Amino acid sequence: MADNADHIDGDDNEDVRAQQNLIKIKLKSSEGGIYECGLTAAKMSDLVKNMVESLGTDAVVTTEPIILGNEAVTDAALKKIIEWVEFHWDDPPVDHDFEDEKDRRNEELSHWDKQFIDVDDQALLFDVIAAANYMDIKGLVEVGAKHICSKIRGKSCQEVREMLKITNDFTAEEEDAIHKENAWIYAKD
Amino acid sequence: MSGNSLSDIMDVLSHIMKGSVDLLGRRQTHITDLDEHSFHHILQYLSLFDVFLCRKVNKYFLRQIDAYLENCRQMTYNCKLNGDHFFNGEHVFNGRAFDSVVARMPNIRVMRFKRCPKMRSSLATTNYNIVSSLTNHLIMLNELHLTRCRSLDTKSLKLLVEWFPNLTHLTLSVYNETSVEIIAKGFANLKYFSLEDSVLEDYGNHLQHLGLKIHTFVAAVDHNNHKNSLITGLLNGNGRYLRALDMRIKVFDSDYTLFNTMGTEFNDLLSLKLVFQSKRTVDDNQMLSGLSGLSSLTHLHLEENRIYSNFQSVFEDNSMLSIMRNCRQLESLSLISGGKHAQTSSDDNNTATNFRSLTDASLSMIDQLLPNIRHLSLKSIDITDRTLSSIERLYKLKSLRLDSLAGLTFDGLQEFMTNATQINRLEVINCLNHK
Repeated sequence: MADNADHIDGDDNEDVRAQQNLIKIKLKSSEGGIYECGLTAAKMSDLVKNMVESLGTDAVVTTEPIILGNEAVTDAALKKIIEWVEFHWDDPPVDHDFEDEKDRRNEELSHWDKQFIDVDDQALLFDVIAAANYMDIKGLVEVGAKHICSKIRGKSCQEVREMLKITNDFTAEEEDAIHKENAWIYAKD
Repeated sequence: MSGNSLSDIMDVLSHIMKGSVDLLGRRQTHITDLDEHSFHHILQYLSLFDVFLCRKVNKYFLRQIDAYLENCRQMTYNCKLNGDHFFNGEHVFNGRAFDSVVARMPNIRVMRFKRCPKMRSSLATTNYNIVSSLTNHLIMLNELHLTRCRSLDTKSLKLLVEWFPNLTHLTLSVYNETSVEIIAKGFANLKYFSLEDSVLEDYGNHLQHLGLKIHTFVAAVDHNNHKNSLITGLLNGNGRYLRALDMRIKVFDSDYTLFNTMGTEFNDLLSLKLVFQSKRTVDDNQMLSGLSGLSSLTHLHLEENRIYSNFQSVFEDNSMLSIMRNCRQLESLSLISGGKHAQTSSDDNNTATNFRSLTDASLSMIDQLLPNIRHLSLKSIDITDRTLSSIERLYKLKSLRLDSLAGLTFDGLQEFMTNATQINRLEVINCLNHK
C-alpha cells in the first residue's frame, strides 16, 4: 500500500503541505554528514523535489539519504540550508496584483533573512550560495545575492576587493584601459 | 623527512598562500569560486552603475560582468550612469558614457531612459544623436522609451524605423505631425505607442495607419482641442481594436457626443484613462454617460484637474451610475477630482456654488453594481460614511486609497478598518471630518 504522502503529492493545500512537512527525509552532504529535513521544506529545492518525484516519497523516506555531491554542499552549508527551508516552506506566495510589492520584496531582505545570511565566515556564505544554486533553491540564492549586493553597493573597487578578500590580478596597463573606457564611473578609485 | 611529506607540506602552503584553504587545511570558498549562474544572480541585484564599476575589481569580475552585460535584455539609462556633467548649471547628456554603456550590451531588447528631472533636462538640451548610438550597437531592440529628446529629429526617426522595423513598444515625444506619420507607417508591429509629452497640432489622421497589432495608445496632451480628429483617426484604422487608451483632454459642452462615440465604437477597450480639464459652462447631467457603452472595461481612471472660475465639473452622479450599471467587469476604478475651484480676484463674493462632484447617490451602490472591484482610489469627491459601508462589502477589494474625502468621519473610518479585513493595502490621506 502506498504511503499517504504519495496520494497528496502535488497538492498545494496548506494543511496538506503542513502534514507533508512532518515526514522527514535525510540529506547527505558532500562531506558525508546526514541531516533530517521536513519533506515540504526539502522540496523547496527543485533538485530534491525532482528526486523525490522520480523515486517516490516512500523510497526517499525509508531508504538511503539523498546524496548532494557538489563540493559546496559542506556540512555547515547544508545545515544552514535546512535552517532556511524549514523557516520558509510555508511563506505565502507573492500577490501578483501588487507589482510594486514584488519590487519591494526584490529590494529588501526580511529581518530574519538578514540575520540568517549575515555570517562572519565568508567561505560559508559562498558555499551556501553555490550549494543553494546547485540544489536549485531560488529564494535562498536570491537572499545570498542580495546580501552580497548590499555589501558591494557604493564601494570603490579597492573596498570591494578588501571586503571580499580577493586580489587585483590586472596589470597596470590592463587596469588603465578599463579605467579609460568608463572613467567617470571610477571617481572614487 | 621524506620527499613525499615535504611535497605535501609545500602543496598545503601553496593553497594557503592562494587562499583556497585556511591554516587548518579547510577548503575556503571565495566569490571567485562561484559559477557563472550564481555570480550573475548577484549582479542582477546591483545597479548598472555598480556593475560597471566592478569591472575593475579583478579579471574574474571583468570576465563575468562582460558576459552578464552581453546577455542583458533590458536597461534603464539613468543619471548616475550618465555621470555628473554640467554646463552653465544644466545637466548635460554624456554621449560618450551612453555609447560605451550601450556598446557592452548589444542584446538589449528594452531600452528606457530614467524619468527623473535631471535626465529629462539633459535629454531636452542634448545634440548628441542617441539613435545613431542605438543603431550602431543594438541588434534586437523591441522597446524604446525616450521622452523629450531634443536630438530626435525626422532624420533620426527614419533611421530608427529602418534599423528596428519590428519595434513593438515605443514611447516618444515628437514635435511635428510628420513624425507621427513616420512612426504609424514605419513600425508595422507596434503594440504600444505613447506620445507622452509630445507637442502636436492635429495629428489624428496619421493614426489610421497604425498596424494591426496596436493595443495601447497614449495620446499627446490635447492643447488645441483636436480630440475628435484623434478619435476619428483611431477609429478609421486598427486603433478601433485598442485595448487601452490614455488621453488628456479639455472637455467642452459639446463633447457629449465624443464620449458617446467612444462608448459605442471602442468595443475591445479594457482600460481607459481620461484626464479632464473642464471648460464646461452648461450644467449637463449626462456628460460622461456615453462611456457606459464600454462594457468590457476592467480598468477605468477618470481624473479631473482643478476647475477654475465658473466652469462645471465633468463628474456627476447620473453618468457614474450609468457607467457602474453597464461596466460590470470593472476591477480597478480611480475617481480623482481636482477639488473645488479657487475664487478669481474679480469674483470675491461669488464662491464655487455651482461645483458638483460625485456623491453617495452613485457610489453608495458600488458593492451592488461593481462587485468585482479589486483596486479603488477616490480623491476629493463628496462621499460620506454611507459609501464607505458599501466599499466594506466589496469582498474582492485588495487595495484602497481614500484621499481628501472630507465627508468621512473618524467613527466611520474606524468601523471600516475593523470590518474590511479583505483589504491588503489601505491608504487614508487627509480624510477626517472635523465638524
